[in-house]
Amino acid sequence: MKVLIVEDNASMRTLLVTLLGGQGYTVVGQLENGNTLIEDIRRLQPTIVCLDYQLPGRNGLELLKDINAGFPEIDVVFMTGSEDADIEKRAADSGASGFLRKPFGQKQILDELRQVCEVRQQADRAAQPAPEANGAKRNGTRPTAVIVDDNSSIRLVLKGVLSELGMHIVAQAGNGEEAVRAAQIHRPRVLFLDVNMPVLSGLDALPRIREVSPETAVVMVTGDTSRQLVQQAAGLGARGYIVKPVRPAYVESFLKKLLNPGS
Amino acid sequence: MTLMIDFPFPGANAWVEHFKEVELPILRLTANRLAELRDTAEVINTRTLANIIMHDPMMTLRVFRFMKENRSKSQNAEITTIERALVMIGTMKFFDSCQDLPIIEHQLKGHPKAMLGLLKVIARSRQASLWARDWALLRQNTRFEEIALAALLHEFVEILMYCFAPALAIGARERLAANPSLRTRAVQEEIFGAPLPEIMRELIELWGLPELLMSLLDPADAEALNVRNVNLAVDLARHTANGWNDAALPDDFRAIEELLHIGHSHLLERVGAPEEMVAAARLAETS
Repeated sequence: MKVLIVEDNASMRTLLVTLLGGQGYTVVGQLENGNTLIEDIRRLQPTIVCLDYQLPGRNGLELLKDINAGFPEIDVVFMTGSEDADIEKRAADSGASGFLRKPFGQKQILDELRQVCEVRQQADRAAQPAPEANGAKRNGTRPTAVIVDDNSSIRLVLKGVLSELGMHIVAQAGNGEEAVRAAQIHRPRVLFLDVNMPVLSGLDALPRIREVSPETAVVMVTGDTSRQLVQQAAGLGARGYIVKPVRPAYVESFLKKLLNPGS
Repeated sequence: MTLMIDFPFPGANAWVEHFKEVELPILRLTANRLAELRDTAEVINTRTLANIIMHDPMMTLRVFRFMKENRSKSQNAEITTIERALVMIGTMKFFDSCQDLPIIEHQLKGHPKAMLGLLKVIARSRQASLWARDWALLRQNTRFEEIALAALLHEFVEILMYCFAPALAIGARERLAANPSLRTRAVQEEIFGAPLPEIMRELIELWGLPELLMSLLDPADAEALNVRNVNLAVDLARHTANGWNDAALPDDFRAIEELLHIGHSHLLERVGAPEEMVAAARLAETS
């Protein structure tokens, strides 16, 4: 895995370079700010970016959005010492694959990177084209799913994780309006629905999805797990929620309960 | 804010290289007290300020480090006290240097055991410093402030470990507690990858800490009176932290009485031993 470190603290950069280098990662670069980040990503082609939030110039959240827009296949591990209560939610909603609140230890970042790599490997395996005859046969028996998220990076990861768990992804959408259309056309077994989206939000789309496809189980995908949001979504007919960043083990156990409620 | 170390570095030099770069955090109490005094920076008494600083070994280290990093070429004399350091730095410049400092309690928020361990070491260091100063004054030693400072900073590397490698620091403490027969140096080498005195020696030089601290590490200086003054205060603080019935205390008392040329009951009174201990000592001396 090729890692790019964006962190203004020199000591932190040095430690991360040494730690990750010793654990089999290739640190392709280290930046003290994000001024040239996009050019550096093009040049260095990392698979993971360890991105600090409070940087001189543009902050990590702004940079994260740029990375996801231009390079959805790159995983971003977001690192921050900010005390903002909703920073984790905002990072997750912006497409961070991992999150670390400072101060964190060496073991914590290695664990986070390991999980991010596992998710990415699942996504990559799922992206491989299946042999056609088998694929067609398998698709016929697998539960269908639609993924709705305005962040292409999250869609990519979720598609990988769900495919690996045996679901057949029949459509993907980037906003609430598209979600309603996809639900009407495909009538999927499960629809994974982001909350914060342009055009029509997840919560606004939810009742319309339930109306056009009542048999579809709608699962919210969110970085915000506040009681208020959970209650609101449940009141509108959501069957549960998956927390961002997406973790396969959690999704697997959630889907088992959802698809086999008696087991 | 830096990365917390979970894996030992390969030797003392690597630790020193790490500590060279890090921003030293201070206790929240110190930050609050300094914030309260900031408006009086131009008129504040340096002794008042020094007392606040010396309540916090990490802040004390920061002052020496700042001095070393900002020292002009003409300043050749060794700075051995915080008050003198403050005079050299200037109180305005000092306050300018300590804005938005990292806070230990914040840094160790996820490590309550380490926070507790750290507070115990700091409490012990403060107590050792008070005793060392008192005994130095009793000995009419003019270097009493340097002696008090050396006792305060005697365990500064352990304090650094709690701040920057909390899991390792707790590991070392628990290993020693579970196996009291183990040699401290061997446990430090195993857990930290280096004995703490080796790291301490390098940092004393790097940060311009008082030379007396270096003497504490040199076996050839062990019998020097000022070194004994510090070491005995540190030992007494460590042993009394386990209670006034710790098995090592009789030997400590004998050595301190010899250093200060005072009787047992007098010493017990001076160090604030429980009243019944003092009374028993008095009774034994009169009978």
